[in-house]
Amino acid sequence: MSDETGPLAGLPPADRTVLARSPLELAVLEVRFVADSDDVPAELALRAREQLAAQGYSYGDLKRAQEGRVEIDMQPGAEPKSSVHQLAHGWQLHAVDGSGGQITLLPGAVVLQTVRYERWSVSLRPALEALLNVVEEILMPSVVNRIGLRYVNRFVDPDARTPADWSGRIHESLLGAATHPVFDAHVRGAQQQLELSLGDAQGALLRHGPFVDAGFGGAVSYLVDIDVFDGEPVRFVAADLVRRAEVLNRTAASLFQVTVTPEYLRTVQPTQHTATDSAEEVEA
Amino acid sequence: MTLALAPGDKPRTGGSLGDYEQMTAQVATSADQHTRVREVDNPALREALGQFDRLQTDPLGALCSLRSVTGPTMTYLLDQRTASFELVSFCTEEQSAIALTTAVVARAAGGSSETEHTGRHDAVTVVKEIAARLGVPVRDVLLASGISRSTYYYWAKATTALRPRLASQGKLWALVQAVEGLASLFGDQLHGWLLADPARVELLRRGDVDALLSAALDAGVAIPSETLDRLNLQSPSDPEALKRFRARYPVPFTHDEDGNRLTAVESIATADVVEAEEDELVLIELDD
Repeated sequence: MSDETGPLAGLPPADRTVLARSPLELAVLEVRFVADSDDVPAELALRAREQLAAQGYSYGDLKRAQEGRVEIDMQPGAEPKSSVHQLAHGWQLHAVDGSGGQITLLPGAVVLQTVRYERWSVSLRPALEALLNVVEEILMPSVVNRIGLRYVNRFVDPDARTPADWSGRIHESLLGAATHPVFDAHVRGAQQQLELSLGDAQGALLRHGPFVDAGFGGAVSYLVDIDVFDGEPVRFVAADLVRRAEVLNRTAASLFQVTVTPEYLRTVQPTQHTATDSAEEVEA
Repeated sequence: MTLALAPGDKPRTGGSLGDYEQMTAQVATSADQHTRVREVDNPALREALGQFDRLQTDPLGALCSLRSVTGPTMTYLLDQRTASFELVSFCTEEQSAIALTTAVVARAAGGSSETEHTGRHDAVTVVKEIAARLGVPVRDVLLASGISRSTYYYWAKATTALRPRLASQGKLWALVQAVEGLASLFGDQLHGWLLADPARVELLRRGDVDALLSAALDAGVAIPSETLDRLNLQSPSDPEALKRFRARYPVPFTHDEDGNRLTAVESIATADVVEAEEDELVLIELDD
């Protein structure tokens, strides 16, 4: 790993080993750019789908997508009025192979999302590379406003009945009141958001906290939602964006690994490996 | 999203419209900060992510009870799975922003010294009016004008008759004039045009009003030549761009390319169309 492609802001490099029991639920990569219109015509969406299919990425399901704005007008002495405005129309492409892959094409953004994540070099980078090349050719965006990479992790333990049960697994400084001598038995959930500055235009939002997980019979799970972004305006060049996304990936992996304790990390890594793992594996 | 207000700001309890404005500004900013999740099928995960959204958007909690898409705080999945809506709220004043701003500009232009024409209330009022007129949060206007938040809220809260120095007001008055210029081009469509493109809002935040006018040019809007000359901007004629722009924004053109005011269309009434000759129609202008 070179300095150029290492994590932002000198964060510690992440271990590259793939987790055996990954808590990753959702991976999203979004590129926002200056929109030249408020609509992506169906013809362009179909061309994008065809070109992706030619590269081996099949998104058979095509749905209209729209973005709008709800405006609430509040004036003194009067009832608030709300109105809905359509801002943009685009398309969503869904993979029909059961992979849960999804692409959203909007006039000002392209989003790649998946719920089945194995590793960066397998699950995101190749698809991202293909998608950005297609977008560069078809939508021809000029200026990129922001590129963001978000990993939503959910740590589950059917035996965890209180947030304090995550002590020793999630870094103590993040658990906060969950380890308080009086509060600990009473805390049912907590939500915290850390806003991290990782450069002049780069940063991360770390949302985390324990919550009662209806999906696990009321056990207390722990959410770690890492959103790393680069807001430096740049020209839309697919290859450059992929490289920037890789830096974000390494940064997210670093943040992930310092969120949990080294001891816990080792418990979710393959037994044959000695190195620590990462849900957002960074092997290029 | 974090709704904790900056030190010195009003507490959230017992909020007023001002609080709403600050919080919704943060909502909008926060929504832009997030990498947006489009759909989450797992209901438990969706609920967990939604907890962040609901808690951090209080007291707009009632609105947040709509089904959240998750991710961006104020993005909602309504009935259609592929539809998402940002929630942005605007607080408007009953008093005309145009009239107030214009009055303040006139006062500033006529003053002989900074202590005569730059009062605390003027600056605070103008900031609010620009924000209302552009449909952006006060914070954006402060960024654009180079006024620090602490300075602004110090002015707003001060009970004595402060007379802030002109230097403290940054580029506020230049911004006022730029907004006036844009308003003359876009009329009531100004805030719609501005908010239609995040890049324009970003130019505003940077206080780059020249670039903002250039963006108007790029969009095809006609700007009087004298304005272009003053800003040293080039405006190549592009009738097609102009047509596209007018199709999207019903902007009434009030000046010709030399900056002269055009005859108001409203002054010509249908009733004043009279037959002069058998096949010839003549328009007669009203006297007013």
